[in-house]
Amino acid sequence: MGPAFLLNENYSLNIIKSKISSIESEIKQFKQALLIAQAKTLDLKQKMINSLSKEEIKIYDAHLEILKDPELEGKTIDFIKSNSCNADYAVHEVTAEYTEILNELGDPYISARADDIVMLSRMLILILQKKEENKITLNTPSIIVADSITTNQLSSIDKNLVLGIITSHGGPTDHVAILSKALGIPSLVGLAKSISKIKAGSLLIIDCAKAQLILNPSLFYVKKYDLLMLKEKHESSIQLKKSHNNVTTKSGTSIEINANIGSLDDAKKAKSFGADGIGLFRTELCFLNSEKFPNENCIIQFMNLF
Amino acid sequence: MIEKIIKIKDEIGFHARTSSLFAKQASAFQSEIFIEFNDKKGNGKSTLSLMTLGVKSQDVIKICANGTDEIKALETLEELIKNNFTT
Repeated sequence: MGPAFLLNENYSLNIIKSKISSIESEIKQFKQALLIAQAKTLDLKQKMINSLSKEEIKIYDAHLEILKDPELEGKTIDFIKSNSCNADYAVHEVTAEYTEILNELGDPYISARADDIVMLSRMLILILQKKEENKITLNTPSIIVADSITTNQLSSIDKNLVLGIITSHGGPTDHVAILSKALGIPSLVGLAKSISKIKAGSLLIIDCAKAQLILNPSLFYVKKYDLLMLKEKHESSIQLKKSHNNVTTKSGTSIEINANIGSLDDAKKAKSFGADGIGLFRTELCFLNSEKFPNENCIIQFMNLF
Repeated sequence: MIEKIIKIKDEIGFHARTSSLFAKQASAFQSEIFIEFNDKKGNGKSTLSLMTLGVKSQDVIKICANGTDEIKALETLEELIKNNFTT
Protein backbone atom coordinates (compact mmCIF):
# COMPACT_ATOMS: atom_id res chain seq x y z
CA MET A 1 0.00 0.00 0.00
CA GLY A 2 1.41 3.36 -0.95
CA PRO A 3 1.31 6.43 -3.18
CA ALA A 4 1.45 6.07 -6.94
CA PHE A 5 4.60 7.16 -8.73
CA LEU A 6 3.77 7.59 -12.40
CA LEU A 7 6.53 6.59 -14.74
CA ASN A 8 5.86 8.69 -17.78
CA GLU A 9 6.64 7.24 -21.12
CA ASN A 10 10.41 7.36 -21.21
CA TYR A 11 11.09 10.33 -23.41
CA SER A 12 10.53 9.23 -26.96
CA LEU A 13 13.54 8.74 -29.11
CA ASN A 14 14.07 10.95 -32.09
CA ILE A 15 14.90 8.52 -34.85
CA ILE A 16 15.30 10.09 -38.23
CA LYS A 17 16.83 8.56 -41.28
CA SER A 18 19.63 10.79 -42.44
CA LYS A 19 22.42 10.68 -44.98
CA ILE A 20 25.86 10.10 -43.62
CA SER A 21 29.31 11.13 -44.71
CA SER A 22 31.07 7.84 -44.07
CA ILE A 23 29.51 4.38 -44.06
CA GLU A 24 32.68 2.94 -42.51
CA SER A 25 32.56 5.39 -39.63
CA GLU A 26 28.86 4.63 -39.04
CA ILE A 27 29.53 0.89 -38.95
CA LYS A 28 32.44 1.44 -36.58
CA GLN A 29 30.19 3.44 -34.22
CA PHE A 30 27.56 0.72 -34.34
CA LYS A 31 30.09 -1.98 -33.44
CA GLN A 32 31.35 0.15 -30.57
CA ALA A 33 27.78 0.69 -29.35
CA LEU A 34 27.29 -3.08 -29.28
CA LEU A 35 30.37 -3.47 -27.09
CA ILE A 36 29.28 -0.68 -24.74
CA ALA A 37 25.81 -2.23 -24.42
CA GLN A 38 27.36 -5.61 -23.65
CA ALA A 39 29.55 -4.04 -20.95
CA LYS A 40 26.55 -2.24 -19.41
CA THR A 41 24.57 -5.48 -19.34
CA LEU A 42 27.43 -7.32 -17.65
CA ASP A 43 27.57 -4.52 -15.06
CA LEU A 44 23.87 -4.90 -14.32
CA LYS A 45 24.26 -8.65 -14.07
CA GLN A 46 27.02 -8.20 -11.49
CA LYS A 47 24.88 -5.74 -9.56
CA MET A 48 21.98 -8.17 -9.36
CA ILE A 49 23.94 -11.38 -8.88
CA ASN A 50 23.36 -11.56 -5.14
CA SER A 51 19.66 -10.74 -5.34
CA LEU A 52 18.71 -13.33 -7.94
CA SER A 53 18.85 -17.09 -8.29
CA LYS A 54 20.97 -18.84 -10.91
CA GLU A 55 17.92 -19.27 -13.12
CA GLU A 56 16.82 -15.67 -12.79
CA ILE A 57 20.26 -14.21 -13.53
CA LYS A 58 20.03 -15.92 -16.93
CA ILE A 59 17.85 -12.99 -18.00
CA TYR A 60 21.06 -11.00 -18.41
CA ASP A 61 22.69 -13.84 -20.31
CA ALA A 62 19.75 -13.75 -22.70
CA HIS A 63 20.34 -10.01 -23.19
CA LEU A 64 24.02 -10.58 -23.87
CA GLU A 65 23.15 -13.28 -26.37
CA ILE A 66 20.94 -10.88 -28.30
CA LEU A 67 23.65 -8.19 -28.27
CA LYS A 68 26.15 -10.71 -29.61
CA ASP A 69 23.84 -12.26 -32.19
CA PRO A 70 25.61 -12.48 -35.59
CA GLU A 71 22.44 -11.86 -37.59
CA LEU A 72 21.46 -8.77 -35.61
CA GLU A 73 24.91 -7.32 -36.23
CA GLY A 74 25.07 -8.51 -39.84
CA LYS A 75 21.63 -7.25 -40.81
CA THR A 76 22.19 -3.85 -39.22
CA ILE A 77 25.51 -3.42 -41.02
CA ASP A 78 23.88 -4.45 -44.32
CA PHE A 79 21.11 -1.94 -43.71
CA ILE A 80 23.60 0.87 -43.08
CA LYS A 81 25.47 -0.05 -46.28
CA SER A 82 22.49 -0.43 -48.58
CA ASN A 83 20.66 2.65 -47.30
CA SER A 84 23.74 4.74 -46.67
CA CYS A 85 22.09 5.85 -43.45
CA ASN A 86 22.77 6.52 -39.78
CA ALA A 87 23.34 3.60 -37.40
CA ASP A 88 20.55 4.48 -34.94
CA TYR A 89 17.96 4.42 -37.72
CA ALA A 90 19.32 1.10 -38.94
CA VAL A 91 19.15 -0.41 -35.42
CA HIS A 92 15.58 0.81 -35.06
CA GLU A 93 14.42 -0.66 -38.35
CA VAL A 94 16.18 -4.01 -38.02
CA THR A 95 15.09 -4.63 -34.42
CA ALA A 96 11.53 -3.54 -35.24
CA GLU A 97 11.39 -6.21 -37.93
CA TYR A 98 12.61 -8.90 -35.53
CA THR A 99 10.15 -7.78 -32.85
CA GLU A 100 7.25 -7.93 -35.27
CA ILE A 101 8.08 -11.43 -36.50
CA LEU A 102 8.68 -12.80 -33.00
CA ASN A 103 5.46 -11.32 -31.62
CA GLU A 104 3.48 -12.83 -34.48
CA LEU A 105 4.54 -16.32 -33.40
CA GLY A 106 2.17 -16.06 -30.44
CA ASP A 107 4.45 -17.81 -27.98
CA PRO A 108 4.74 -16.01 -24.60
CA TYR A 109 8.35 -17.05 -24.06
CA ILE A 110 9.36 -15.80 -27.49
CA SER A 111 7.36 -12.61 -26.95
CA ALA A 112 9.38 -12.04 -23.79
CA ARG A 113 12.48 -12.12 -25.98
CA ALA A 114 10.83 -9.66 -28.33
CA ASP A 115 10.42 -7.31 -25.35
CA ASP A 116 14.10 -7.76 -24.57
CA ILE A 117 14.95 -6.75 -28.14
CA VAL A 118 12.84 -3.60 -27.82
CA MET A 119 14.66 -2.62 -24.64
CA LEU A 120 18.10 -3.42 -26.03
CA SER A 121 17.31 -1.56 -29.24
CA ARG A 122 16.52 1.51 -27.17
CA MET A 123 19.72 1.02 -25.20
CA LEU A 124 21.79 0.87 -28.40
CA ILE A 125 20.09 3.91 -29.90
CA LEU A 126 20.67 5.96 -26.74
CA ILE A 127 24.35 4.98 -26.82
CA LEU A 128 24.61 5.94 -30.50
CA GLN A 129 22.83 9.24 -29.90
CA LYS A 130 25.04 9.81 -26.88
CA LYS A 131 22.06 10.22 -24.55
CA GLU A 132 21.42 8.86 -21.06
CA GLU A 133 18.25 7.02 -20.14
CA ASN A 134 16.08 8.79 -17.61
CA LYS A 135 16.78 7.14 -14.30
CA ILE A 136 13.84 6.52 -12.01
CA THR A 137 14.49 8.38 -8.77
CA LEU A 138 12.11 7.78 -5.91
CA ASN A 139 12.08 10.20 -2.97
CA THR A 140 9.63 8.27 -0.87
CA PRO A 141 8.41 4.65 -0.76
CA SER A 142 6.02 4.38 -3.71
CA ILE A 143 4.18 2.07 -6.02
CA ILE A 144 5.48 2.50 -9.56
CA VAL A 145 2.80 2.82 -12.24
CA ALA A 146 3.95 2.47 -15.84
CA ASP A 147 2.96 1.22 -19.28
CA SER A 148 6.02 -0.94 -19.06
CA ILE A 149 9.27 -1.02 -17.17
CA THR A 150 12.50 -2.57 -18.32
CA THR A 151 14.65 -4.99 -16.37
CA ASN A 152 17.48 -2.49 -16.62
CA GLN A 153 15.35 0.24 -15.01
CA LEU A 154 14.24 -2.16 -12.30
CA SER A 155 17.82 -3.17 -11.64
CA SER A 156 18.85 0.44 -11.04
CA ILE A 157 16.11 1.69 -8.68
CA ASP A 158 16.56 1.84 -4.93
CA LYS A 159 14.72 -1.37 -3.97
CA ASN A 160 13.99 -0.07 -0.46
CA LEU A 161 11.69 2.58 -1.89
CA VAL A 162 9.69 0.36 -4.24
CA LEU A 163 6.52 -0.85 -2.51
CA GLY A 164 5.06 -2.37 -5.66
CA ILE A 165 4.86 -2.21 -9.45
CA ILE A 166 1.86 -1.91 -11.76
CA THR A 167 2.07 -2.04 -15.53
CA SER A 168 -0.49 -1.82 -18.29
CA HIS A 169 1.49 -4.12 -20.59
CA GLY A 170 3.19 -7.37 -19.94
CA GLY A 171 2.46 -10.82 -18.62
CA PRO A 172 3.59 -13.18 -15.86
CA THR A 173 6.35 -14.79 -17.92
CA ASP A 174 8.03 -11.49 -18.79
CA HIS A 175 11.50 -10.93 -17.48
CA VAL A 176 10.28 -7.95 -15.44
CA ALA A 177 7.68 -10.12 -13.69
CA ILE A 178 10.33 -12.74 -12.94
CA LEU A 179 12.67 -10.09 -11.56
CA SER A 180 9.97 -8.47 -9.40
CA LYS A 181 9.06 -11.84 -7.93
CA ALA A 182 12.70 -12.62 -7.18
CA LEU A 183 13.11 -9.25 -5.46
CA GLY A 184 9.93 -9.78 -3.45
CA ILE A 185 8.21 -6.72 -4.97
CA PRO A 186 4.40 -7.13 -5.22
CA SER A 187 3.44 -6.56 -8.86
CA LEU A 188 0.43 -6.60 -11.10
CA VAL A 189 1.00 -6.68 -14.85
CA GLY A 190 -1.12 -6.41 -17.96
CA LEU A 191 -3.74 -4.11 -16.43
CA ALA A 192 -4.26 -2.39 -19.81
CA LYS A 193 -6.03 0.96 -20.05
CA SER A 194 -7.35 0.91 -16.50
CA ILE A 195 -4.10 2.39 -15.21
CA SER A 196 -4.70 5.63 -17.07
CA LYS A 197 -7.17 6.54 -14.31
CA ILE A 198 -4.42 6.64 -11.72
CA LYS A 199 -3.16 10.10 -10.74
CA ALA A 200 0.28 10.77 -9.31
CA GLY A 201 0.36 10.47 -5.54
CA SER A 202 -2.99 8.73 -5.21
CA LEU A 203 -3.13 5.87 -2.72
CA LEU A 204 -3.05 2.36 -4.12
CA ILE A 205 -3.34 -1.10 -2.61
CA ILE A 206 -1.93 -4.12 -4.42
CA ASP A 207 -3.39 -7.44 -3.28
CA CYS A 208 -1.43 -10.11 -5.12
CA ALA A 209 -3.32 -12.98 -3.48
CA LYS A 210 -6.50 -11.73 -5.13
CA ALA A 211 -4.74 -10.17 -8.16
CA GLN A 212 -6.54 -6.95 -7.27
CA LEU A 213 -5.66 -3.29 -7.37
CA ILE A 214 -7.61 -0.89 -5.18
CA LEU A 215 -7.50 2.72 -6.28
CA ASN A 216 -8.09 5.48 -3.72
CA PRO A 217 -9.24 3.02 -1.05
CA SER A 218 -11.74 4.10 1.56
CA LEU A 219 -10.72 4.23 5.21
CA PHE A 220 -12.31 0.81 5.65
CA TYR A 221 -9.94 -0.79 3.14
CA VAL A 222 -6.92 1.14 4.38
CA LYS A 223 -7.53 -0.18 7.91
CA LYS A 224 -8.32 -3.66 6.62
CA TYR A 225 -5.07 -3.92 4.70
CA ASP A 226 -3.05 -2.22 7.41
CA LEU A 227 -4.18 -5.01 9.71
CA LEU A 228 -3.57 -7.71 7.08
CA MET A 229 -0.03 -6.50 6.48
CA LEU A 230 0.67 -6.28 10.21
CA LYS A 231 -0.68 -9.81 10.66
CA GLU A 232 1.47 -11.10 7.80
CA LYS A 233 4.57 -9.42 9.20
CA HIS A 234 3.85 -10.82 12.67
CA GLU A 235 3.31 -14.34 11.33
CA SER A 236 6.49 -14.05 9.27
CA SER A 237 8.55 -13.13 12.32
CA ILE A 238 7.05 -15.98 14.36
CA GLN A 239 7.88 -18.40 11.54
CA LEU A 240 11.38 -16.99 11.40
CA LYS A 241 11.86 -17.45 15.16
CA LYS A 242 10.43 -20.97 15.02
CA SER A 243 12.74 -21.84 12.15
CA HIS A 244 15.66 -21.68 14.54
CA ASN A 245 14.14 -24.32 16.81
CA ASN A 246 14.97 -27.98 16.58
CA VAL A 247 12.83 -29.82 14.11
CA THR A 248 11.30 -32.98 15.51
CA THR A 249 8.63 -35.45 14.46
CA LYS A 250 5.56 -35.91 16.66
CA SER A 251 7.24 -38.95 18.16
CA GLY A 252 10.25 -36.83 19.13
CA THR A 253 12.81 -37.85 16.52
CA SER A 254 15.13 -34.97 15.70
CA ILE A 255 15.59 -34.04 12.04
CA GLU A 256 18.45 -31.96 10.74
CA ILE A 257 17.50 -29.35 8.15
CA ASN A 258 20.35 -28.40 5.89
CA ALA A 259 20.54 -25.91 3.04
CA ASN A 260 21.88 -26.20 -0.49
CA ILE A 261 24.10 -23.21 -1.20
CA GLY A 262 26.31 -21.80 -3.91
CA SER A 263 27.62 -18.59 -2.43
CA LEU A 264 28.49 -16.84 0.81
CA ASP A 265 25.22 -14.89 0.56
CA ASP A 266 23.26 -18.13 0.24
CA ALA A 267 25.01 -19.43 3.36
CA LYS A 268 24.20 -16.27 5.34
CA LYS A 269 20.58 -16.36 4.20
CA ALA A 270 20.29 -20.05 5.08
CA LYS A 271 21.65 -19.40 8.56
CA SER A 272 19.26 -16.51 9.12
CA PHE A 273 16.36 -18.76 8.16
CA GLY A 274 17.39 -21.37 10.69
CA ALA A 275 19.26 -23.96 8.65
CA ASP A 276 21.16 -26.41 10.83
CA GLY A 277 23.97 -26.84 8.35
CA ILE A 278 24.92 -27.20 4.72
CA GLY A 279 23.53 -30.13 2.72
CA LEU A 280 25.00 -29.49 -0.71
CA PHE A 281 27.66 -26.90 -1.42
CA ARG A 282 27.96 -26.03 -5.11
CA THR A 283 31.64 -25.26 -4.91
CA GLU A 284 31.93 -24.80 -8.67
CA LEU A 285 30.00 -21.56 -8.27
CA CYS A 286 32.91 -20.17 -6.24
CA PHE A 287 34.96 -20.64 -9.39
CA LEU A 288 32.37 -19.31 -11.83
CA ASN A 289 31.58 -16.18 -9.85
CA SER A 290 35.15 -15.22 -9.19
CA GLU A 291 37.83 -13.60 -11.30
CA LYS A 292 40.54 -15.68 -9.66
CA PHE A 293 40.70 -19.27 -8.54
CA PRO A 294 39.23 -19.38 -5.02
CA ASN A 295 41.45 -20.93 -2.40
CA GLU A 296 40.68 -22.95 0.70
CA ASN A 297 39.90 -19.77 2.64
CA CYS A 298 36.77 -19.38 0.53
CA ILE A 299 35.52 -22.75 1.76
CA ILE A 300 36.58 -22.14 5.35
CA GLN A 301 34.65 -18.84 5.40
CA PHE A 302 31.46 -20.74 4.66
CA MET A 303 32.10 -23.48 7.18
CA ASN A 304 32.76 -20.93 9.92
CA LEU A 305 29.27 -19.54 9.55
CA PHE A 306 27.90 -22.77 10.91
CA MET B 1 28.01 -28.66 -48.68
CA ILE B 2 25.97 -31.36 -47.02
CA GLU B 3 22.40 -31.37 -45.84
CA LYS B 4 20.05 -33.48 -43.81
CA ILE B 5 16.30 -33.49 -43.33
CA ILE B 6 15.24 -34.03 -39.77
CA LYS B 7 12.03 -33.99 -37.75
CA ILE B 8 11.83 -32.09 -34.47
CA LYS B 9 10.53 -34.40 -31.77
CA ASP B 10 11.01 -32.07 -28.84
CA GLU B 11 7.78 -30.78 -27.34
CA ILE B 12 8.67 -27.22 -27.95
CA GLY B 13 10.56 -26.74 -31.21
CA PHE B 14 12.87 -23.78 -31.83
CA HIS B 15 11.80 -21.50 -29.06
CA ALA B 16 13.97 -19.26 -26.91
CA ARG B 17 15.91 -21.91 -24.98
CA THR B 18 16.31 -24.49 -27.74
CA SER B 19 17.28 -21.89 -30.37
CA SER B 20 19.95 -20.66 -28.00
CA LEU B 21 21.32 -24.18 -27.39
CA PHE B 22 21.41 -24.95 -31.11
CA ALA B 23 23.07 -21.63 -32.01
CA LYS B 24 25.73 -22.09 -29.31
CA GLN B 25 26.55 -25.57 -30.57
CA ALA B 26 26.57 -24.47 -34.21
CA SER B 27 28.86 -21.53 -33.42
CA ALA B 28 31.56 -23.97 -32.28
CA PHE B 29 32.05 -25.05 -35.90
CA GLN B 30 33.92 -23.26 -38.64
CA SER B 31 31.35 -24.22 -41.31
CA GLU B 32 28.36 -22.09 -42.24
CA ILE B 33 25.19 -23.63 -40.86
CA PHE B 34 21.73 -22.92 -42.27
CA ILE B 35 18.28 -24.17 -41.40
CA GLU B 36 15.58 -24.26 -44.05
CA PHE B 37 11.95 -24.40 -43.05
CA ASN B 38 8.79 -23.42 -44.92
CA ASP B 39 10.65 -21.54 -47.65
CA LYS B 40 12.52 -19.60 -44.99
CA LYS B 41 16.26 -19.81 -44.42
CA GLY B 42 17.87 -19.06 -41.05
CA ASN B 43 21.46 -18.73 -39.87
CA GLY B 44 22.05 -21.69 -37.56
CA LYS B 45 24.52 -19.70 -35.49
CA SER B 46 22.01 -16.96 -34.69
CA THR B 47 19.48 -17.48 -31.89
CA LEU B 48 17.31 -14.68 -33.26
CA SER B 49 17.34 -16.12 -36.75
CA LEU B 50 16.30 -19.55 -35.49
CA MET B 51 13.49 -18.18 -33.33
CA THR B 52 11.99 -16.26 -36.23
CA LEU B 53 11.63 -19.47 -38.26
CA GLY B 54 8.75 -20.48 -36.03
CA VAL B 55 9.69 -24.17 -35.97
CA LYS B 56 7.38 -26.12 -33.70
CA SER B 57 7.32 -29.66 -32.39
CA GLN B 58 6.85 -32.32 -35.09
CA ASP B 59 7.97 -29.89 -37.83
CA VAL B 60 10.45 -31.08 -40.45
CA ILE B 61 13.53 -28.95 -41.15
CA LYS B 62 16.58 -29.16 -43.39
CA ILE B 63 20.02 -28.55 -41.85
CA CYS B 64 22.77 -27.47 -44.24
CA ALA B 65 26.45 -27.29 -43.36
CA ASN B 66 29.15 -25.90 -45.61
CA GLY B 67 32.82 -25.82 -44.66
CA THR B 68 35.86 -27.81 -43.62
CA ASP B 69 34.14 -29.39 -40.59
CA GLU B 70 30.71 -29.79 -42.20
CA ILE B 71 30.46 -33.53 -41.55
CA LYS B 72 31.21 -33.23 -37.84
CA ALA B 73 28.95 -30.17 -37.58
CA LEU B 74 25.96 -31.91 -39.14
CA GLU B 75 26.50 -35.01 -37.02
CA THR B 76 26.68 -33.04 -33.78
CA LEU B 77 23.67 -30.87 -34.54
CA GLU B 78 21.58 -33.82 -35.65
CA GLU B 79 22.50 -35.60 -32.40
CA LEU B 80 21.46 -32.51 -30.42
CA ILE B 81 18.01 -32.44 -32.03
CA LYS B 82 17.57 -36.21 -31.71
CA ASN B 83 18.38 -35.93 -28.00
CA ASN B 84 15.67 -33.30 -27.65
CA PHE B 85 18.20 -30.52 -27.14
CA THR B 86 19.74 -32.02 -24.02
CA THR B 87 23.51 -31.90 -24.20
